Amino acid sequence: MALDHPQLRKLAIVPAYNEQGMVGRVVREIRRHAPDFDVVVVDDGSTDETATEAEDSGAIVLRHPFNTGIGGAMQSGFKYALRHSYDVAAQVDGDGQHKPAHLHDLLAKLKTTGQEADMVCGSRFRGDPGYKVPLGRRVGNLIFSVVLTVICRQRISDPTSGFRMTNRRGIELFARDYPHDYPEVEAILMLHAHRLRIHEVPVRMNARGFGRSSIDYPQSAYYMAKVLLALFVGLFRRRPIPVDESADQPGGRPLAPGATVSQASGEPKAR
Amino acid sequence: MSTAVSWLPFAATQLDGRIRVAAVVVTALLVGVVLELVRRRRLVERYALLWMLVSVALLVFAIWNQLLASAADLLHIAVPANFLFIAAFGVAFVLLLHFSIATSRLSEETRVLAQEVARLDEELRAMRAAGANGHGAAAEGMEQPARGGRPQPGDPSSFSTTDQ
Repeated sequence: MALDHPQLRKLAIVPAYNEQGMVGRVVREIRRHAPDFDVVVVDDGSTDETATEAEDSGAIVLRHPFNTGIGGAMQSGFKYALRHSYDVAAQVDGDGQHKPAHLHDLLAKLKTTGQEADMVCGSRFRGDPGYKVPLGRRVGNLIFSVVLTVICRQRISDPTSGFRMTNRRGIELFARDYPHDYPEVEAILMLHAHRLRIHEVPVRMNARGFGRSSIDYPQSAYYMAKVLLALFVGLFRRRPIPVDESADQPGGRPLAPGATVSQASGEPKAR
Repeated sequence: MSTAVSWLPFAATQLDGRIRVAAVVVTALLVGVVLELVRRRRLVERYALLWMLVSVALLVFAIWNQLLASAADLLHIAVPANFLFIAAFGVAFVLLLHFSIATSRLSEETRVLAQEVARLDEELRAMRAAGANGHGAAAEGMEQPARGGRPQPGDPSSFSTTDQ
């Protein structure tokens, strides 16, 4: 916590649910490969020693009293980032799938392009994925990829990847409103709706260790249908933040005009 | 006791005496239960009003079953019981929808609460740790929680439940 941050304050958010035996490793890896990142582990109601292990490895820990799902956990992290005025927040899953060594690849894209990329996604499908991605996963991903690519009019090759980094604008947006059920896919749509820009960089990942593999074969069709429905609903959903606020270009059209007028006055000024 | 009234299409639609007494007794009990629940504050007013309306309506139909018959007649429903079924189905549907909305809101609020509890817990532990580390660290550690500790009008948590 006493680290110096001369230019940017950077935070790695590690959502973890019953990741005992893995979460400590993830935190140490982040500290080794990206020492300029503070680490906050969101223990989402784990019943094992996840929180203790994370704390022992030197992370700040947010303990949810019960499980709220990956979306709730990530939002907790974004709220923390907003509260402590971080400039950059990255998601690194607590199951060890994401390689912290890539954090600076993501950061480079966020930084070198200046204000251009509000979120950088680590994509397995722009190069070598680093492990053998199961076929079902690949097919599911492809379908989301096609849908999102059409909607966003830019190539989104790995919409289910949780390995992401966002800047201040993304943090502010996600702290107020983060999709609950299938957040990775929906968050992209949300960014697009708010006119925040997305970039992808190729990353390699580890095969999921143990822990939740959120998509298994029997459930994958069901999952697909639900996410597609969530996407469809998300297209028309009312947003609690005025769209214009975060979009600085004149063309920013509000998705839901007048939907959130009452909140606009209470909005804290960015920076 | 009710006897068949000439303007009704079917004499069979008139409730038989015994069943009618039973209907009145049952619905009166229902009204009593609802009133008692309200009196004991087991039902929030919002739901209380709804259930009272439903039970009183049932009681009215049980006592004055010609009303049911004429209401059905108005909509050209041949058998008055079918009018009752349609109405019951509609009420049940609206109720279920209402409860889905309520549950969604509750789960949203619960999520925010969980996040707030996690925040307070973390800030408390940070402050305690800072206090245990002596003076210099205490002053440094106090600074961070203080920034987020104040509930501000634009605090993220106050936005989260507005999207309904």
